[in-house]
Amino acid sequence: MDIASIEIKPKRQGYAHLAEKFGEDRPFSRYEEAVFGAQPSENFHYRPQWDVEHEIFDATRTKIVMNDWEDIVDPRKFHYMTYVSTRAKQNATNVDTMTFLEKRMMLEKMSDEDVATITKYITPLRHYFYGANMNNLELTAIGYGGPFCSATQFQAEDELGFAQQVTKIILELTNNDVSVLDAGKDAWLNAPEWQGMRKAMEDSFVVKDYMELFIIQNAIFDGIMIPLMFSSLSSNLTPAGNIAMSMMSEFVVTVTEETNKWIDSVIKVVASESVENEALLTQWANKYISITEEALSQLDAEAVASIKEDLVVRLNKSGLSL
Amino acid sequence: MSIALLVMQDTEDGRAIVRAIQKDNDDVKVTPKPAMIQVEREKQIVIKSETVQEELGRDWDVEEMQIELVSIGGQIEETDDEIIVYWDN
Repeated sequence: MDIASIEIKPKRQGYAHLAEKFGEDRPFSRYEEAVFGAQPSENFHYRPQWDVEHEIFDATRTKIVMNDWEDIVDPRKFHYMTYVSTRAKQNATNVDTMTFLEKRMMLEKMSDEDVATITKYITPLRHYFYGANMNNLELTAIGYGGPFCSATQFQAEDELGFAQQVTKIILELTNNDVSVLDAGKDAWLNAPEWQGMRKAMEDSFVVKDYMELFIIQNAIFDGIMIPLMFSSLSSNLTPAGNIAMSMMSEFVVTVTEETNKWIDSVIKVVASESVENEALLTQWANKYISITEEALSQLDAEAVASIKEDLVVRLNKSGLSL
Repeated sequence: MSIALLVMQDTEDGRAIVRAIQKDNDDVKVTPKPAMIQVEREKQIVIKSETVQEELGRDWDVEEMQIELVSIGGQIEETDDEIIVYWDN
């Protein structure tokens, strides 16, 4: 007996707007389906009352000029499913780490000086990360292009996640003493060593140019603040405190390493588009590196200087000329 | 000459692996089959984990190949960085 099989070919492999964009009909990846063509670009009616100079979605809200904003893709290829499952996996590891530290009583063994150093430096960061979250939500709101704005939305969630991680670390260390959190807020608002950074953060809230804001928040602020607080801080602790703190910081450090690939790639794509773009990015980076360096050197000038050196090398590798 | 053969599942990850193969190997013959993708090339096919990682946007261990693999024709050489399917004749 001969059983014949028929193979029925689908008429189309993928969505028509993607076939048109890429000039070929093929099965497109979930990432491509999620981000390309997501940006509303025509048939706008009224201009927004909060910004009558521009259309509601308008690429001219930045001085950066791109032929196609969809070129700024995310090398992590994050769409909802991949983003959520990646972070869930990382958080599961994080929860395991916290459980391990508790089980082996590593936090109780930590010296009071170490606990004081950690709470003093990282508690105010809850408010820094909240600001960073707002800046990235602003990028998502006024930015242009599906791939760029979906990545900034994920970045906004990550910043909030970092704030939560800081809260977790502090509460673990202080046996759920919430008054430490209030003291952290008070330090962010009133302690002289934090006022430089708080001013820089609050000034960034009113920056209108979204690519400038991207450089400020994601490349410069985070680029200096996160290594300062989650890597350099450890060297001021006793060896035992250093181990526990490094383990608790691992979530923030791993996510940041991964995020930096996206940030570097955005800068690389935008800078290689034109000499004018590269000059603008370089100018912004220079300006905000010195603002941030000055603001944070009140906390630890030596560490900030060495982090800044690394950051300059990293940004130059992405095509800037600092 | 012998043809090295790989049949992958036609899934999100499977397609990414095939795209990586097409980047790293010249003259690959890719044939869509129902729910599968057949990849053929003379002598050998190289799958580099670095290229697959680029395509997927995440870390990818060469052992993960097994999840998407339907069938294979050839001898296999596996290292931490790549898999080579080849005929030594």
